[in-house]
Amino acid sequence: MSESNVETIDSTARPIVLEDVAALRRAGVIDSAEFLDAARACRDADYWADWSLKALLALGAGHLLAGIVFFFAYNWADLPLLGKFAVLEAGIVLTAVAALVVRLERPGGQALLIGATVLTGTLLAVIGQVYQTGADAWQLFALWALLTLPWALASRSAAHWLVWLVVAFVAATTYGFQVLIVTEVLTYVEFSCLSAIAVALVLVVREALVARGTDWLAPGWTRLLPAFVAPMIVFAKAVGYVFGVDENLVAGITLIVFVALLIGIYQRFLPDFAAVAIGTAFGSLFLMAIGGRIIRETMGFEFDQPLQVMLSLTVLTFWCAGVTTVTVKLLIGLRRRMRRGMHDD
Amino acid sequence: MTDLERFCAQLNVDRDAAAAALAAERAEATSALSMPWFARLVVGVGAWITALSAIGVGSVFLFRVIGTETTGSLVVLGAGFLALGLWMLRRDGIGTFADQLGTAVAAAGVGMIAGGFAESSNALWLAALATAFATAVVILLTPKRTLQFLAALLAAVLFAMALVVDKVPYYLDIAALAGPAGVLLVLRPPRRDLQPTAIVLLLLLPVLGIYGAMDFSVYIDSPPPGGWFAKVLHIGLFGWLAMLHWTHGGEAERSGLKVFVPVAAVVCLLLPAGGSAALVIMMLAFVVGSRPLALLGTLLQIHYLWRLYYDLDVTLLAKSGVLTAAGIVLLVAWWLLQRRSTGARS
Repeated sequence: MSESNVETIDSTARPIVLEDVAALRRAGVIDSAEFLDAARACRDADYWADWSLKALLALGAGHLLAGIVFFFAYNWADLPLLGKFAVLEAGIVLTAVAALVVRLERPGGQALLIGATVLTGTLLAVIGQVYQTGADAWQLFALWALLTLPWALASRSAAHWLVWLVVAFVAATTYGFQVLIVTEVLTYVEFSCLSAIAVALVLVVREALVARGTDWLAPGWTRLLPAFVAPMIVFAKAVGYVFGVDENLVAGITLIVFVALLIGIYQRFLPDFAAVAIGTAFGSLFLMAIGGRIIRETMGFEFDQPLQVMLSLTVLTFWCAGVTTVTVKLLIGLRRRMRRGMHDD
Repeated sequence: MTDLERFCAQLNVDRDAAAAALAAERAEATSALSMPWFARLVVGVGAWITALSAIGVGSVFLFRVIGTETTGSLVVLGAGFLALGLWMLRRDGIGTFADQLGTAVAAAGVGMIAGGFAESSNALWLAALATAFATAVVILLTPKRTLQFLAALLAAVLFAMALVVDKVPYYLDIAALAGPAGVLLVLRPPRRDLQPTAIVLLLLLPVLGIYGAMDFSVYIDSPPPGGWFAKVLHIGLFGWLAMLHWTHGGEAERSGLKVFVPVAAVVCLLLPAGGSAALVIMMLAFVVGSRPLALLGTLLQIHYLWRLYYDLDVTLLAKSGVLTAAGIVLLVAWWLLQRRSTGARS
């Protein structure tokens, strides 16, 4: 049986959704006046009843919390020092205790513990503001990450770990900019590469933990986020090297290694087309940049010679079109192979 | 949720015609060559870079090789790009790259037409009109939703800019008139797909409201933005949508509306005009069951809640009181509805 036949038979068995109703309207099967009735016929009433309750709760809680925050913001300057600390410390204690009461397995408990983590950072900022400790910004973030690590460990929540990792990453980045680069221990490019490798290590740890059965880390975004951020950090530096802005090759090499690993690992060992697409995207953009540099070196982009610029841009257009066409073919081929592999399994 | 058999029986629709229409649509969506959105995004980025390079070729030819100095030439070049892009999109058996490239080239063409007409701020109305015309051409000649959205968005942005630059008073109230048109296009769509235009119309007031809430007085002498008419209009829209839900819903849903609608009307009055538009988008999503619209409305609502902080007309204490009161009322409404819902289930 051909693939299209399978789809035809399947299409009548699947539940009708709003997109189908729109398709039926476009095909003229239902008319304009019938659209709302048709949309309502396929509307999942239970889902929307649940959604409306959640939306109402979120709106109510959001308004109330914003009102409380605005109240303290209005009175902040007039609050005595002890009052400021008391407000924040009470907030930390209340959210942490409430998280335990609600239980950390539930989304509400996890959200409360994230709240405690955020409030800890606010408290440290206020301490720095009040006592003018003279500490560098990286020390604030490092202390924040250190103090809240036990909560992250206890949380068993990917969202909590994301918040903690962002704080830790900011601490490392500010340390790099304020200490390592200033004292010339590392160059900007080298530091960027190390940061990207650190993010890649987070991905490695994530994969190892998921392989050992850590279910709460299994959602796809926990893989795709570091898979995107790691090459993203070095991409600009790698392109900078291609166009002669930087003289350090290491960013380019790091990017190429990331692209090869992303495509290789997520195509062969841990099939994930989205991660493969991320690797392919960075690879194709880097190839376009290399083409641009070669064209600049061989043909030039001197704007006082319009015909030459036009010719160079035409070649660049064809180069970019060619790279994108090859990318499309590659993605289609990889997807087919991954699908076939899944069917074989 | 329903399947095709029950759907057709319920609406008295020809089952075979419906099955054929859906099979064609779904076969296209699930064919081996079609790719998920992130892969199309990858190809799209490449196609847009290619299109930018192609625009560079055209611009160098026009402005450096021929040496033209009139912005009318930009309009002609834009029309050429639009025609080229539409030609690419209308070919049979078009691949993913050609599809993305055609969209990028045509969108660039619309942008050039707009840029050519908007040579000075005095011509913004003309540019908005020309872009609206180009959008109509796009709608008539291709079903590409991304292109339609980009063209309609550009027309809306130019219209909004013209309102502000020409210091038209009560520009928020004028922009609010787009809301009912957007709601109508979602609820009673014509056969030609106008959903992207509907989204742009729904977004016009909330997005312009974001601009209106910013303080640009240093750069531009902004006219009074207005907003009360917009709020009243959106409360009316909200009420109408609630009435539609009432007439189409069961007894349990009706009882929920009795609590929710008055509360929502009060919140509409308290929030900036864009916030009331966001609430209408959420209600529209609820009535037709559209998750993308629900997400859009929710994000806009969060923005307007946060934006209130920067509203310079009232003190933080007054804002705090208003928000706390609204929050308590909403939470009481939630509690009542949840109790009713739990009671109905048990």
